[in-house]
Amino acid sequence: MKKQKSILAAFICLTAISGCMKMEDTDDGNLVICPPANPVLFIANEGNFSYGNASLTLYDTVSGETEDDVFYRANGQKLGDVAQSMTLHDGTLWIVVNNSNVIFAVDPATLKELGRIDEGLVSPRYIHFVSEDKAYVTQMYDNRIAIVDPGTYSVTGYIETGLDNTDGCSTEQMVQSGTDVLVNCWSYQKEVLRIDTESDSVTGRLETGIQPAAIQLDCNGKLWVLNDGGGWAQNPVGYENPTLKIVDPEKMSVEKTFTFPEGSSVGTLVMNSARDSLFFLNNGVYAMSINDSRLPEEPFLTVDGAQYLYGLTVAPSNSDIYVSDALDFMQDGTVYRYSGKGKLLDEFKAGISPKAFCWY
Amino acid sequence: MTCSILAAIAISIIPVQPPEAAVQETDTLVEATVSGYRTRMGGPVRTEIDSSALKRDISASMAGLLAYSSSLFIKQSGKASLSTVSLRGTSSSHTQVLWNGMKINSPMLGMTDFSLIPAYFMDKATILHGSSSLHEVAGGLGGAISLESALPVKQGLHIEYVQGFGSFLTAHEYLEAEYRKGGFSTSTRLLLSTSRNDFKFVNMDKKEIAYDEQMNITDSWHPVERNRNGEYRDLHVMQEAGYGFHDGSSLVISAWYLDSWRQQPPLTVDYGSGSGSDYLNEQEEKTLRMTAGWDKAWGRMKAGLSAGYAWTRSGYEYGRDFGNGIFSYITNSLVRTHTGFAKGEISGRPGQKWLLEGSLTAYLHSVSSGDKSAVTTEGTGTGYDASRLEMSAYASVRWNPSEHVGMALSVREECHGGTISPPVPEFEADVLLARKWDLHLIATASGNYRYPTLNDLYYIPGGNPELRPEKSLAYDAGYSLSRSFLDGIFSLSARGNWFDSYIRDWIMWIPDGAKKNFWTPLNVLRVHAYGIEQEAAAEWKPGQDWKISFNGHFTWSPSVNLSDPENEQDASYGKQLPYIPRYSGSFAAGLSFREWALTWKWCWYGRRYTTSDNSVSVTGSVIPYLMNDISLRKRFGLQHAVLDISLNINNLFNEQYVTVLSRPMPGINYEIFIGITPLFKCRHDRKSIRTK
Repeated sequence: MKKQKSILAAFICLTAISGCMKMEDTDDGNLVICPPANPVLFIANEGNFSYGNASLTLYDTVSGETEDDVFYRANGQKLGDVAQSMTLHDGTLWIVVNNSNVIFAVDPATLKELGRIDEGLVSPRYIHFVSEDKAYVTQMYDNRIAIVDPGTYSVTGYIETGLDNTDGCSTEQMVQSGTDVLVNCWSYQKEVLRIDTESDSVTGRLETGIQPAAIQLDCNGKLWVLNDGGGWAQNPVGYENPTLKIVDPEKMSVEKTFTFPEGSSVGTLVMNSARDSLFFLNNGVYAMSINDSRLPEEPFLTVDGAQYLYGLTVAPSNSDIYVSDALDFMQDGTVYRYSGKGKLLDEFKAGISPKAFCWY
Repeated sequence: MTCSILAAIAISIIPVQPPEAAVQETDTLVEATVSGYRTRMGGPVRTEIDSSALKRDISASMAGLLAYSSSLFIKQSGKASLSTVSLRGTSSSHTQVLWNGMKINSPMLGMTDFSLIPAYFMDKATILHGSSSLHEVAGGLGGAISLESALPVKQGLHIEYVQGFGSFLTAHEYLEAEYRKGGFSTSTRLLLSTSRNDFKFVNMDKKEIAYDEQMNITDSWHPVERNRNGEYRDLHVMQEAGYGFHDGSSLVISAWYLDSWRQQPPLTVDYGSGSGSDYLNEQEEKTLRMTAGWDKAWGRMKAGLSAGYAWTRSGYEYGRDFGNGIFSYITNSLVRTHTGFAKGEISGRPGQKWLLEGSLTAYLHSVSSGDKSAVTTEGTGTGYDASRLEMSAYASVRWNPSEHVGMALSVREECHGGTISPPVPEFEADVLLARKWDLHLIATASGNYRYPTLNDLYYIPGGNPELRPEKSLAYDAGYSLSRSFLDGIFSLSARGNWFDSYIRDWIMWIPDGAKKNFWTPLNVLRVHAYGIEQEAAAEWKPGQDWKISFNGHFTWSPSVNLSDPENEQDASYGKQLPYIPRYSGSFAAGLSFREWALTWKWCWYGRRYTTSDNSVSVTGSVIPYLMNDISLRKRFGLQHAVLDISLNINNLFNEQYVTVLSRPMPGINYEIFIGITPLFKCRHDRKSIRTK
């Protein structure tokens, strides 16, 4: 018995030292998770539209272990339909579930639900924290940006954007630029908006191209806008070559335009932690410095055999690059992990259509 | 002896054209001249749905009926929602559906919504498994379902009125008026169904939460919710008329009008309001289908001509009002389709051992599809207009070298929109092994094509005009038997088949290359669908007033993806296709005593995966379920009418189940029907109806 206790103690110590995740599914189906000691990557798997099969995957960046369906296993309820984005703010993980019209607040250490915003939202896309007691939520099919109080999990107001509410209006990603928030308007839109966070009103707008799909703010305070060009020739809003544009957010003017070849399938714009390098998907992972004068001609990473590159993130701690392959969108996708120099370090399974990443 | 057997075979495969004397003797054979212009219904690999099941209750759609009368997989997106059929491990668009010989699959989507076909309107339903469908139509890689409405048999006026009420404020009204005099006959049917359809269910996909004053969660539970926004109203009107001429020819005209309005319930994981005046999610469909058929037989020849027209106007609106009175639409689509149909067919017997058949069929589809949810400042939305001419030629020769052996070779040639496919052959052989048991063995081999739908080709965005037809190669072998014992006190019948088919160029919608913001159809899959079908029926009459019957169906149908994996991470190779069960079955038991009838129906579906890699995650499959329905019926013979009262209990054990992820189905629910049939004829006829 004494020997057994010794072995158990040694095992616990080794586990603590290695910092591996410790999880256990209880009899009632609820997952018990011990706070991980290692950096963790959360992966929101979109699932299929109208299936209600979105899920959350957890990846331990040191041990390489993954745990699937952790939201369901921790809370006994499904994540919902189309997990769109995640934001970690002040120790809380916020998961925006687009077609479920809900945003879950989750303790990232235990994955237990802390609360939810489930009223006053229509097809929410992203949540951005302006202060401790105020956040913005962009929406699809509603031209207003919701103002929420994260403390009470409630919508307290709306920002009128002036977008036409009858034409598939949508506001999308948000970045903070001083006291302003910059927002790109994607679906059937052409504009980037500037919002004053004190008055909660639009103070500037700029047409950057057809369907601005993603934005990032670099270390110089310049806004990078990736326009997908509409994607299809009969798009009511128009069709053009995709472009990457640099915008001065104060003047709300385009400083530089990079044009992709016609038919390029660009998407998912991210930056490294220094915010001096860009990464985007275009049937491969492309990288460029913010000082480059032209678009890269060759991909930085080519994922051999990948069917459909879907999500992308750069680890803030070591610049490792994570790119997901959604395969046929009907099966569990794969996430590939590369070093900052492009060496394949790991590959692991996530859920269906792994798209959004969040570091913890 | 040989002659009599060949004659029997001839009767079974040539439409019956009774001699004049027979026409004068019985009404029944006269009826055959009106509705019997159809040529043979393929080989023995078919399932005839029990006609009494079709007329069991007015609330049943063909979707509900097929679930309990076959082992087909019925994929229901909720009660009174889209319901499609999967046959032999294929998809819904691989099942061709015919009404009075005219194909009624959507030319845009390829599938048929069986929830919009009331079983009570049909007088005959036949499932043509696999290759057997080629005798009627091409493109049925899984098979075809032939539905027929028929004119009255009996002379005189016949009226039936049925009223039904059910749980969730459901009401049904059915009126049927039939009249026959001499060669002329007419039939009018009307069915109106309405329901609030707000059944309760325990939502296991969600949890409600309670906060304390500090906004800490203090409690959580799975809520009991109502099926919100599920109201519907379906109106069906069918008018038919026919005339049997003295020369043996007949003309039948049918028209079927459908006006359906249905709300669409939100998903079980939708936290939005999903109801109220600020929320709109509903579809409306108006469809008119008309067919006309003429046929005539002379000597050893028979010919038929038929024509038809179908028109559909289908709208779908999904949007929200944000308080300013203007709806923002997620979808605001309107589709109009027109289909013209013409068919000529001829058959003849040049000798006792030979049967020749041929037909020429044409469909002309015209589609206008638009969505105004996304419009430019110029007011243009998305959509497309397209039309396509589809032609099909069919020829078949059947040879019976002996009384026990028969074989047939058929060829079908298809032309869709100017694209001509290579001829589709089908070979069939059958052997009568034991006459006493009517035991037949049959084997078939065939190819088949299914052309892309108009949405596959032209939908904006994503339509792919470069698509190739899906192609299949199928083999089939099986048996059928039937026998009566003890002068008909006990009867038994059974059918079983092994089937094996390879389908290539299976069309799937996926994001593709530069077209990343939307999905596009591609010829990507190779599928091996195989398995076993087994059905059996027995009937026992233990006493003069007693009857006990059993009817069971079982299918084992692996449908496996054999496409080359894109990379080593692609785990879909060798896996069962999504939403196709490997195992399915149904069973019905009936007990009747004089005017009483008790029916117990049972339907079971095995696990259905929702992913191509057959993932074991919580949403990776839909769990198996066993459904039990029971009904009790009593018929009262009154002096001037027959009164029919029945009570149905559906989902007897209140099982919580879904057939599609996030689409709830109702628990235990009840229906009661009261039918009245006035007796207009002489006392002799009244008695015969009362004791029917």
